Amino acid sequence: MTNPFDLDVLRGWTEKQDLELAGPHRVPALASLTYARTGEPLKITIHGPDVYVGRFHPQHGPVDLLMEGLEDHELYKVSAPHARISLGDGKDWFVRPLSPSSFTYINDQLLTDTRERYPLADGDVLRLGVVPFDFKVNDIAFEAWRERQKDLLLAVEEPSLYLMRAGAVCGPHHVLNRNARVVVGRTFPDALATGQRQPNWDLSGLRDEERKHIGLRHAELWCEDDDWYILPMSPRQRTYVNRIEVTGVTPLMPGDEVGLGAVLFHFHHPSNIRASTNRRTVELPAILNWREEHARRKRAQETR
Amino acid sequence: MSWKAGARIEIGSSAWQIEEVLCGKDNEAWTFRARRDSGEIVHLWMGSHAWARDVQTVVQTSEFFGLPRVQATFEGPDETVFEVTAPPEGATPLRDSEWLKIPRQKAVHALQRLTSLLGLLHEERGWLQGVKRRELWLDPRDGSLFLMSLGRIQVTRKPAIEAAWRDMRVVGELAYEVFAQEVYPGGHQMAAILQDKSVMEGTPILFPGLPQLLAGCVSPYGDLAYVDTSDLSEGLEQIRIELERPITFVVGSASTVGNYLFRKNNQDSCGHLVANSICGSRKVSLGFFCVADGIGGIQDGERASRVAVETATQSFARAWAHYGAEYIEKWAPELARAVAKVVGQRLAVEGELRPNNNRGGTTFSGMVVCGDRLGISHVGDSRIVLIRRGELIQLTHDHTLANILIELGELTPAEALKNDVSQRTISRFLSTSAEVEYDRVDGFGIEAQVLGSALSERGLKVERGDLFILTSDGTHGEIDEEGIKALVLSHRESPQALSEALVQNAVDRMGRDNATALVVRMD
Repeated sequence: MTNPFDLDVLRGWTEKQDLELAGPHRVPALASLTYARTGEPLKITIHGPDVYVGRFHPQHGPVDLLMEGLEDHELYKVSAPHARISLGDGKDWFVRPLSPSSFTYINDQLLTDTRERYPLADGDVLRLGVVPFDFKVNDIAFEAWRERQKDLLLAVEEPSLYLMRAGAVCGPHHVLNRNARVVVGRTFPDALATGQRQPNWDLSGLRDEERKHIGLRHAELWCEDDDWYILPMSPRQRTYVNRIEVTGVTPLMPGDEVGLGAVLFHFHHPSNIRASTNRRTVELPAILNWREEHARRKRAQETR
Repeated sequence: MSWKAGARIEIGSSAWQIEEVLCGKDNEAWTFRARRDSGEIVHLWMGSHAWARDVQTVVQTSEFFGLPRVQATFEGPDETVFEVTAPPEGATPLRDSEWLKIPRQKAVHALQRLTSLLGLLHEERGWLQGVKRRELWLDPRDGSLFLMSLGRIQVTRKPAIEAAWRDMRVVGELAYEVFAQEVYPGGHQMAAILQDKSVMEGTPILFPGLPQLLAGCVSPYGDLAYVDTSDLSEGLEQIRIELERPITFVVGSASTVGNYLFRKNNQDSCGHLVANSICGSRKVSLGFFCVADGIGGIQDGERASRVAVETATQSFARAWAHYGAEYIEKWAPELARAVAKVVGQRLAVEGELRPNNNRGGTTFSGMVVCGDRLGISHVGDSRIVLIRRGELIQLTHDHTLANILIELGELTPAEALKNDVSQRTISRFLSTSAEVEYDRVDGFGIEAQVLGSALSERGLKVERGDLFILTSDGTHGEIDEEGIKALVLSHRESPQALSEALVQNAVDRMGRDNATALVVRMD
């Protein structure tokens, strides 16, 4: 049900909501996770061949499958990130648990080794923390999926930033201007920020859980001698390039993944179609293991 | 032909024995309570084919509240018999003595429904040639009236000028009786009373709106006469509005920094906004109440809770200005949550634009009341409790680590009470570092489910005498349920005194937190 109250009225200022940003995914799903619970089941579709699943934590960077719509206690047992689900050779799926302190199970079998990939079959129950998901593989050939993603990207012949969801570009994009700086962000009330320019790409229309971590003037992108750069601008919300946080001017390469808060974007550059359509495997920085940290401190104390 | 109890009606293979003649004699058609050969008791309408055609034209196409439904039709050589649904259980033929006992509000409501039934029949071009009292049945429990017979119905495109009046006059008579507590004196005398102010003065019809209604129903002629049922509905609606006595609020609030050595300032805030109006006799009272308990750096927590209360009251006022009370009454729970969402966004915007003095966050519990509907929004561990008929009902579910661990089965509720860390760790709040998602703004918590049917999608149905207490954890953390009930008993008359007593209790017990209480009594 839509809210009977227009939040613009209650706020006293108007947010520019682009409805397309919350629209359906334009690339077909390869698989899905369904949580059959009392009431409406929770279905999370996987649109990419290699996805990180879990919560978003600013220190650990964005994940592809953002766990939302769970109860507090269910979310409490989900890590950021929790697991990595990938399509090995275009046919078989695997899951790798990523967090040593929270648990992942396949059919009630605890996955113990965070460096291991475990085979995940259609119909398996994948449990993340306390939430059991039914894993379903969709009936779509990987090649067909790749073509759909390619079509979407090749429709634009200019450098642009594509919104990604669930591991694949999903449709909405912003064509970048070679001659002017582009600010990505969200509408803010002019009265509170006199003299500041509203963003060129307004992401206010994203889903609630996505826009939550988008800064008002989040990042700036520009082109210099055919090279592209990004500069984080938000004092609170973080910016990531290939899942590593960046804090100063950072060059962008074709096919790079830009993370703004919890949302991932694909930097599309027509000069390098292959980089654009073959997704690079992005490895996260080493897993944060608090026990390791604890041991290191203990050692440091002992040597002292 | 005349029909009496005990007589037998036969049409083809169907037969009934009349148990009781409910209406007939001077009508074109009869209404019976009868027994089928199978032993079943049914209600029958019986009349000429011409009459039956008119009945079918009017009532067979749709269902009307307050009128039996035709269930089966039997056509004999001279007459048609309809088996119709029985009157609702508990209803009996209207008796004056019973009708006089119906409370005014219920009676007006029943007359409004009867009027809309007449209106629907008229719309179908069915004219009743006057509604007789013995055709009406009454359910004395709620005052509902049922028209159990259509003995003289006629379908006509061009009704006589008095046709509407003939059907409507009974409404005026019944209204008179409820307000005057005596039997209607008759049309001529009523007209005489209404024509002379000095005569009217001593009569029991002076209730606002009633003389106008009686004048509309007493005669089909003249400027004041009601032309159709919509005029009559308006007259009844005016009386209904005059009878209304809306719930009003008595509010008290108190907040203190407390006396804990390490609390240098008060990071709690609370606020309320009450708007009462009477426009066109319509009385509206509308209120918004909230508490916020700031979190974070010393100045930042105080600032966050202040921004929350200011933003909440402002956005409530904007909603009131833009949507009006009637709309808010329909959507009180949604408005409460929308306000919390806007507050969360405002805090996040402040955090983004002025990061240096906005590092904190705040809990937020807000309450929208409009008419008899109440909605709440809740994020964090402040609380809203309702005291109803001496019982304490918590309306909000604390967003604490303790509750998460209880849900996971890692702590029992008893252990959680002793586990100070998990009690004090809150799992949701309105943060200055990211706006809260709409889904994570709660309404009524699981604890409120004991209210049963009083709680619906439209919110909580408020009753007079309800007492709502909004508190920060510094207040409710220092007192148990029995303690609150005892204070409520000793400060029943004054919400202000109760809020002060609740806060004083935290001070007396040297609680470790700021303490705030806002109390609203529904009068």
